[in-house]
Amino acid sequence: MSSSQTKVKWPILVGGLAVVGALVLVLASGFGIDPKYIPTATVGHEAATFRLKDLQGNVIDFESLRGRPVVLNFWSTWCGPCKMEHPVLQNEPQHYPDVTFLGALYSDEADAARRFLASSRGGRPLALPYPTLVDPDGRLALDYGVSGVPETYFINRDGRIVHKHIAPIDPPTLLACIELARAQGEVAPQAVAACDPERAR
Amino acid sequence: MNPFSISMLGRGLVLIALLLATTGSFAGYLAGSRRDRRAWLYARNAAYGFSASMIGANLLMIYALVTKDFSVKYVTQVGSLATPPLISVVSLWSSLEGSILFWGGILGVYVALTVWSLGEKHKEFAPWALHVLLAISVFFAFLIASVADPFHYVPNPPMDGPGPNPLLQNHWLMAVHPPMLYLGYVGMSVPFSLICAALLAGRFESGWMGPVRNWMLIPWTFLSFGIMLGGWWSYAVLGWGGAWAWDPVENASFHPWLTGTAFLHSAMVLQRRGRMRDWTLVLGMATFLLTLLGTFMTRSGVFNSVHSFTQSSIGPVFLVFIAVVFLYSVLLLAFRSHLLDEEAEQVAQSIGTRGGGGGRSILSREIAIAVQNVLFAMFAFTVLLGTLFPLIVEWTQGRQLSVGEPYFDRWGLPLGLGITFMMGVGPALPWGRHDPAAATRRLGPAVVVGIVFAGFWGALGYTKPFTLLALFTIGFALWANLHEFVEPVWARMKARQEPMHLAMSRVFVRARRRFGGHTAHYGVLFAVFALALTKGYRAEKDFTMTVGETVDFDSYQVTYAGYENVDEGFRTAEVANFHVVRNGREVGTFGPRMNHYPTQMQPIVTPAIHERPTGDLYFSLIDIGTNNGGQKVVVRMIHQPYQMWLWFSAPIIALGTLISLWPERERGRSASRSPAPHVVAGSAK
Amino acid sequence: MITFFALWALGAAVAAPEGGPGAEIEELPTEGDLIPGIPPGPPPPPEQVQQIAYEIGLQLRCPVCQGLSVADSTSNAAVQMQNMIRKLVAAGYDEPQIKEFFVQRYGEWILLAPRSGLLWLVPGLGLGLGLGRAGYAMMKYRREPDPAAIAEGSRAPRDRYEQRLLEQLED
Repeated sequence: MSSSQTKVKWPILVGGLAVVGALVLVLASGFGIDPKYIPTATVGHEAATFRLKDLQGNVIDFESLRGRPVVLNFWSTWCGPCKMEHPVLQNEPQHYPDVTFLGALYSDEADAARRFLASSRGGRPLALPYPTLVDPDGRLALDYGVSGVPETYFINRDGRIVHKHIAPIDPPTLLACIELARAQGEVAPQAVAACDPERAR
Repeated sequence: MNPFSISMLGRGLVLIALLLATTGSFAGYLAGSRRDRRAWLYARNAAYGFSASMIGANLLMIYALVTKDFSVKYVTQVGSLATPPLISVVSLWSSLEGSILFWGGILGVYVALTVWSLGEKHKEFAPWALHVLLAISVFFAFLIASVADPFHYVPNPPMDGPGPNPLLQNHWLMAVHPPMLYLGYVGMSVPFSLICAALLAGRFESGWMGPVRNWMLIPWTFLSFGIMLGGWWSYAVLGWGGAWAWDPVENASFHPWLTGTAFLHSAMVLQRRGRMRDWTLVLGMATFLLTLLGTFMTRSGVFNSVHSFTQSSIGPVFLVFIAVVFLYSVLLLAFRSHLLDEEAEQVAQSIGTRGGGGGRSILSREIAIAVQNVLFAMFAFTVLLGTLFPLIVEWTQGRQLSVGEPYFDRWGLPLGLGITFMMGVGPALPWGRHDPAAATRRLGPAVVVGIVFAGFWGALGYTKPFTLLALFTIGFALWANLHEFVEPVWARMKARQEPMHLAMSRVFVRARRRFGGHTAHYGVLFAVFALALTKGYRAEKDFTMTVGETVDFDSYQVTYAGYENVDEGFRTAEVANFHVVRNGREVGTFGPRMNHYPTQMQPIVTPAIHERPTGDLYFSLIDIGTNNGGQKVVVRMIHQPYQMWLWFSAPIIALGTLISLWPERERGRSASRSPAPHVVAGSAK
Repeated sequence: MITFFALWALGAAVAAPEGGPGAEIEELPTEGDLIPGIPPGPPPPPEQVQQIAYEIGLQLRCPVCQGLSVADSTSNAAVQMQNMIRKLVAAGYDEPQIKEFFVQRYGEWILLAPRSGLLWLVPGLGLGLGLGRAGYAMMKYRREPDPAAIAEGSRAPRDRYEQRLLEQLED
């Protein structure tokens, strides 16, 4: 009874310390991650085929696009960041004659999109140099694993999704990711890093 | 820079609070370890001073918000000239820095009340309690003075600000829900401090359990209220027609509620039977730690949630604090609780026994409470595991996954039903005694009532097995608790020939605390009832309607009357009006809407609800069809049976707490008490 | 690229039809199986489709919301997903097939109840251990001699029933 050594309640001490350690480690591990990040299982896999009409009513078949890299941009008229990247998508495609650009309307009405593209802001027309697919039941967005707009998918010649860019795209990223989509066989890590610094890390 | 600017004054007050908390905590330590009266007096005054400066700093911030003083950083973040005064006040807790300041203010209130209520009593514990409580205050004052400084001076004040988060302006409940929750969260630091005080003093007897339990009961009640109001807010604002989504931050408020409830019950076993002491202490400490964890979950940006309004640098600092408090609790328990064992042994030897009656039976209240405690602890554990699981998996395996309603329901349903059942068993069993006949006599009718109750609802068409089981436990627990009031009244009427009202009031006065507890049980039963029916019998359907079209939904005929634009100054709204008729009788017009705030791109969907005791009709807009001038809308109609009863739960629980805690006049109580010597164990307040 | 330019120019010249009921015009009939390569089973009775789809939707996480399920959320994306689930159910796909359909697109993240067995095992074990521990304590508790019982014997209350009741009244 005299020695205080024996009076330590070891189960509480050992159990308690284990729980403290585990809890703190788990919580601390959370600091590096973005809780709003949503994974896409479709990247790295064969892109889903589709046969859809564009805003003008023309039918576009995915099969007819094979053999060329494809850039597929999901957007909508109610999305603010889409308006930020809009000038990039208007101007950049002309530098990539070997690449097929496509827009896809996400959770929006075709009429609204037609009106938006026919209008102009600050004297600058908002028309896009490529067609926008209408996805009336959201099946296309679902098949690609879209979790918000804007999102830009890069598909290579073989019809495989090589990358998905979340958030407004800028010309350097567009170039880097198109390089990924153009590449055949193994890709140098630097090339991946230029398009997707997250994955390279 | 003007030396009398609000920034300067505010910072000054916060620094004074920090200084007083630091020195006061140290003085509390001296007063505890050396029984130094001067140190004790200083600690008390420092505590009052801390409270005054913290409350002052809050009032100052409210003043700055209302007068739109944009030289204060926090005002530039959440204030705008267009914000109405009341919403300006509310925006005190609409963003990170303000909410931490608000936390400090509430802590100030609690510190002052604790010191005041302890007064000159409990001399051997009070200094230690103050030592710990003020040490916690040091941390919060430090936060407000450093990483979360709301008073930061803005040298070139902007003309106008963005205004508070639109979600906070969207409903009056946002003015009440956060303060209630904060009163619950912050208040848990008091029972924690009192428990630490017992361990530091190396003693637990001589009436300390009374204050500890009361000080748990107060924040616990606020927490119950806060959780219920949060559910109501979610229901009335978020538009999906539910009160609880098992969102990480909702769960975060639920963990301490669960452990706190378990504590309130195990503390009775400790008081009456001298059992489950270490476990009770662990529960009390865990409750405080879980409130800290909850705050971390809300504010660190590590968890994705409707409530994580801000991402900030406060996370790591808070995590360090959690680690320190947790470590401190473990060490204190591991190295000091043996002193309480020795003390308990002495007490037991000197008086022979501590409990109410004799006997040690499985059919006793203490065993019922032990089982209930296991269920509560498991509930807290499963919810915590589910909340942290995505984080654990991402950390260890680098994959993202989600844990949501299906997981929580699968565990929550059986555990919740078990708890509801024990809520009936516990009160019906006596302390200690082994008396199967009496147990059968008491529980038998309750089982019958449960079956009849479930049968009644079954006959109305609510026949899903889980719903029926829930309804049975409700009827069972309801009767078991009511019976505990009826039986003694009946006994008095028979034995003493008292008229019923006299017998009732005497029984009530005599066993007030006990009936307070039963009242809280009734409140919980209301919640279980509403949840059982809404979970099982919610019906919803999406309709695409053109103006003038009528559809049938549930027992209602709903006509889309048209679309209007409303300008309310600080926001505009698109409202779709629905005309509702039920059985040929006019019910009214309901206007679910999309609210547009100048600072927010996306509109906020706001539902319209027709509330009736038997069920709500809930309208939520999916698409208002702005492009076709509101000719065509897509609307979701939801029928939520008996939803309203959920909102009654918290007021009834609060009533129970009031009944329990209402100050009592000391008049000849000892004479009327039973001769059992448990007074020593601290059950007498 | 040039082809698309031409198409675009052509389309612009023709101009979009004004004010038509948008969705009907753009929709093309689906060819083949709704889930490519997987033939559906026998479809459920039409009146059950809504409820089956609702229960599946409850188990899938809405990608644009804050932790709500596809069935609960009123966001456009979630409503479209719920419509897709209804379509799949009506076509005869069962719950595992539909869940797998979504997992292939969004990963396991989309399941609100992850497939990990740990989440079923650990709480179950915990509950077992907790109740076991409580049971052990009960047995031990019952066997201990109780000084109170001895003390009680000498006290012999006058009216046992009433005294017990009144004693019970405390707390």
